[in-house]
Amino acid sequence: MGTEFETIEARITSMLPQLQSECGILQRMVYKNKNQHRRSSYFQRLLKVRRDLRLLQSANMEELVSSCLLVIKGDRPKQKLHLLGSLKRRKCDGDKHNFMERLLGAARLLAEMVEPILKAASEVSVLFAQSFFMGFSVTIMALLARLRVLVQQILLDVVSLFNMVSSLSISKQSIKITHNGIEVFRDFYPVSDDFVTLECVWKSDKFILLERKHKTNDESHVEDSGGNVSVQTSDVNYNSIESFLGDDQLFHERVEADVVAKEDPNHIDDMNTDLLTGSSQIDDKETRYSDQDTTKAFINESSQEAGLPASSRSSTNDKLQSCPKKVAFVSIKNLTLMRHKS
Amino acid sequence: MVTDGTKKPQVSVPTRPPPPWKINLQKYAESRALELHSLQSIIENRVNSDYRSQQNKRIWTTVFDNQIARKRCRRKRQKLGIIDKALAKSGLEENHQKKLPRCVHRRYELKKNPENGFCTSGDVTKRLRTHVWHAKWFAMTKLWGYHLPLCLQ
Repeated sequence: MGTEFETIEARITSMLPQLQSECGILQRMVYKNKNQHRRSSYFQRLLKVRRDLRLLQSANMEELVSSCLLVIKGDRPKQKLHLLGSLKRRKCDGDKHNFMERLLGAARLLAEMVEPILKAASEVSVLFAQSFFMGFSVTIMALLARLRVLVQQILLDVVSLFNMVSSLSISKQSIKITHNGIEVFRDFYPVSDDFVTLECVWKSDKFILLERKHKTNDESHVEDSGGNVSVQTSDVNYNSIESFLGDDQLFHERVEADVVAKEDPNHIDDMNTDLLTGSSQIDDKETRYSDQDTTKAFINESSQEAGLPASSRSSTNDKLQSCPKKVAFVSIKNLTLMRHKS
Repeated sequence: MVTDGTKKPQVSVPTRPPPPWKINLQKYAESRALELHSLQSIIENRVNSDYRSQQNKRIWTTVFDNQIARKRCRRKRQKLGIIDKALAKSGLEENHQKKLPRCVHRRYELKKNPENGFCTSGDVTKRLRTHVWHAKWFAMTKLWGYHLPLCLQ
């Protein structure tokens, strides 16, 4: 799978500049020969080929292919998240089309470009048969032959890229973002909508594009309904048991010391400051996540975290030591384990 | 420590290199020989190896226009009738002899194409049977007693 996608990437990045250069040559030929040939039927066919190539250039294939490769590779996690998130607002009418819809439009155009190329070539071959305008006809035939091969190969690669990205957008995944030493895990949950896969079928002399619509499985419906359950099934393993166990041991020792010291008002002030810092951290966490499912999970966890400082009653030194060790995301399993032990 | 929101990647489209000013035609075609062969085989299958151009797609020039040819035939027939009338009436009435002037009469004689022999012009040079057509498209010279078109081949 990895090697296949790498060969597709290498192939399509080498073919797009070639297509641009062939398009430039065709436009130059049309410009030079327009006065002499403009009323003839073969030249009208050439103008249609040029029109299709201009449409393909306006579709901006390099940008579409690079965004697909970002989603497949995952080199830049922020941009990958942005692109996957843009797929969710697929059916908005007023907004711009997302890159998958633009890629689908480009694939349809590529499938329809082959027929005018073949018709133009059959008209120019009549010139060959009559040996009229040999220089012009030889150049045009060579150019159309190369265009036909390039267009069909790019269509095959675009279809396979589309299928890869659509299968990725359906599946649930977690993405790791590191920014200034802080690691954040972002979970992506797909929307339960229909998705499209493409297929190319060879008929007599060209490829024909077939579009198939699929519906999502029932499992994803069950997963989406239970927000809490989906958090537990995430693949990320959180390292937070040791720090909480350490806090418990220190807590027991401090209780004995506090009985001897009897400094109650200072402890009350410390608890107030801890609550304020905890709420500020919770606010920071909530702003980072825009998904509804993750915010629900965080609300539950934040309520449980608010209960911790009230019951712990540990000193400020332990809090200061434990602050840098805290992980940004705490799962429910560890909390339940702590309660069972205590 | 709030991270910045993800910005859209600004993809700058590189400017295309200009197409080549001159193309070596032989190298250009030979580098695409495989594609040309496959394209040629596809076209053979489509056209059934019938490369004749269809008649309705040809562009006619004014020489091949039928209407003009018909008009000329009509004019010839009318004027030939006039000549016949003149010849017929010459026996009856002497006043109507030689109704056509000589230049007109001579012009019609020169346009004829006899089946045997050649038309002779004023200076005794012989004309080919296709003289009228060739005189439209070629420069004519008098060689060896004949009126011949100049062809550069």
